[in-house]
Amino acid sequence: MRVRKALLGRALESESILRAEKLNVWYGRVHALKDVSVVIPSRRITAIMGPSGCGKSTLLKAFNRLLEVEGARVEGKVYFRGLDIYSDSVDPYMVRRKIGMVFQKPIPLPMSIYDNVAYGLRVNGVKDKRILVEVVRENLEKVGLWDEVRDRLRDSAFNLSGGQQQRLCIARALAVEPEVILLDEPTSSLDPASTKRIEELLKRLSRDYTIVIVTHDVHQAMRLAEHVVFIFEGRIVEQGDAGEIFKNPRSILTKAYIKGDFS
Amino acid sequence: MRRRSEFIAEGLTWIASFIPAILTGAIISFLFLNGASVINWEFVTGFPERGGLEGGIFPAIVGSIYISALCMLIAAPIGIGAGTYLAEYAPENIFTKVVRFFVELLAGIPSIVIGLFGYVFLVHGLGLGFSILSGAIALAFMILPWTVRVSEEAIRAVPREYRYVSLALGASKWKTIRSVVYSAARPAIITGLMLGLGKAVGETAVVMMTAGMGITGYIPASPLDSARTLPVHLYLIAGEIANTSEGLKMAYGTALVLLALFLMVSIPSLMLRNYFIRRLYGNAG
Repeated sequence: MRVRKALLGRALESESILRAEKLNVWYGRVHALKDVSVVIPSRRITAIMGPSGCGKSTLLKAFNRLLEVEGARVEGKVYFRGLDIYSDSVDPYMVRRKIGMVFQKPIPLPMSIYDNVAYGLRVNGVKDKRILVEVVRENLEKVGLWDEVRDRLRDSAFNLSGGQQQRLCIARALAVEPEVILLDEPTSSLDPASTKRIEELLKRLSRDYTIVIVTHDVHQAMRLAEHVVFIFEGRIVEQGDAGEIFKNPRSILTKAYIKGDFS
Repeated sequence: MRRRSEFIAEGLTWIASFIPAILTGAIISFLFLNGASVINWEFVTGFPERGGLEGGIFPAIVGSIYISALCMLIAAPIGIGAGTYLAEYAPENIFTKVVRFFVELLAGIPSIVIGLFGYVFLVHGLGLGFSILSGAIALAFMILPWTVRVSEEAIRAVPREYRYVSLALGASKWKTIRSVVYSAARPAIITGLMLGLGKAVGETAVVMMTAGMGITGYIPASPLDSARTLPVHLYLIAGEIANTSEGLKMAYGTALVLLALFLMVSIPSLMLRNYFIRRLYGNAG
């Protein structure tokens, strides 16, 4: 009974949280995304796959309005819980707080481990030290870093290993309580053991957060994703349930990509 | 086998690298040998007597510190502010290009011309008189190109990724600049401000035309008092009494104190810079 209820809850929650509609993006004269419409289900791991330069990172950055910082031009709509995040009345800072991001290389800020995790709260006006201490601890625990760093929170974050730095970056993103976490090839610079830890962490986090991960690694997508979006040359080729797509891709492009014929 | 031209190129650059080091060493040891004998407690804390032939240089030490400090108080915020605008906000348009061009141009204006401008505009025009304030403002004009350019370059050198990370956490642009960009740029900005301070401490022409020669019988207190700085004192005694051997010794002693004063400021700030680098990047830095 409890299992059924849990399953039912899961089904209800899995309605879409993010949705792009006829999204077009230009970098100068380069048309990077063409009429992209995608649906991202809530509290699942969605993998955005495709060969390099296909526009998958661009799509990711369209979800938290980081594109405009890079000077790209965006047309079309992106809905977060039904709200068009590109409409004039929406504050981009609010969007980015709700939709966090982790980058390809681990990017610790040049400050202590503690200050890295507390950063997001501080710039959003939280000053109470008890709250900060609590939030830092809670999120370092979530990413499994607390026991490794609890005695050296004041050390520079640059003293951590690459894998630890990336987990720190995830903790930092979690600290501002986002609902969605976007990750842009977060393990591409890490060794296999660190990659495995991050993948396990993402699976755990997908119970509470919506996770969108860009990856060029088909096997990573197979290991992690419940939902898959396949992009080629700026267009969506296929999207849907991961099991379905990996078993029976409809497009020959997807099929060839999964087989590893091109990357 | 290495080619001969390679060998010659390395040799010549090796020699070139030694010339500045040897020169610095020569100047410092020359000053020490000739000036160290006059340096004692009375020289550092006393007032000049007989036109600087005897006594000390205390008023000039105070004047130098006073003017340089005030100058940095003016030049640092303007330099960092302008550098921030040019690096973070300025669109690449004609206005920005004009501003940059004028900053470059200001760097090329001879200090005596800035002194003249200070004399006309500050001493007389604004009625500030020959004073510490006039001197500090004119010196600030002189070093502004450096503080602006160094700040701009330091801010530009901060990796773009830091800004993306901060923005992605919901920080506004100004908060990003304040919280990440400045702290990452701080070591380079400190170094740049030190270079500016070095120029200001050593400057003679600008100070003479704006702060005056200073009456040396009292310690300047108000910013509107006239004051004599160490380089000006050095210039005056070297010009007037250097033909006597005791006068020459006093000039060397003054130069030595000037050098010591500069090192007393620049060494701690270099240590401060290294401390910030360590704090930012840990051992990995």
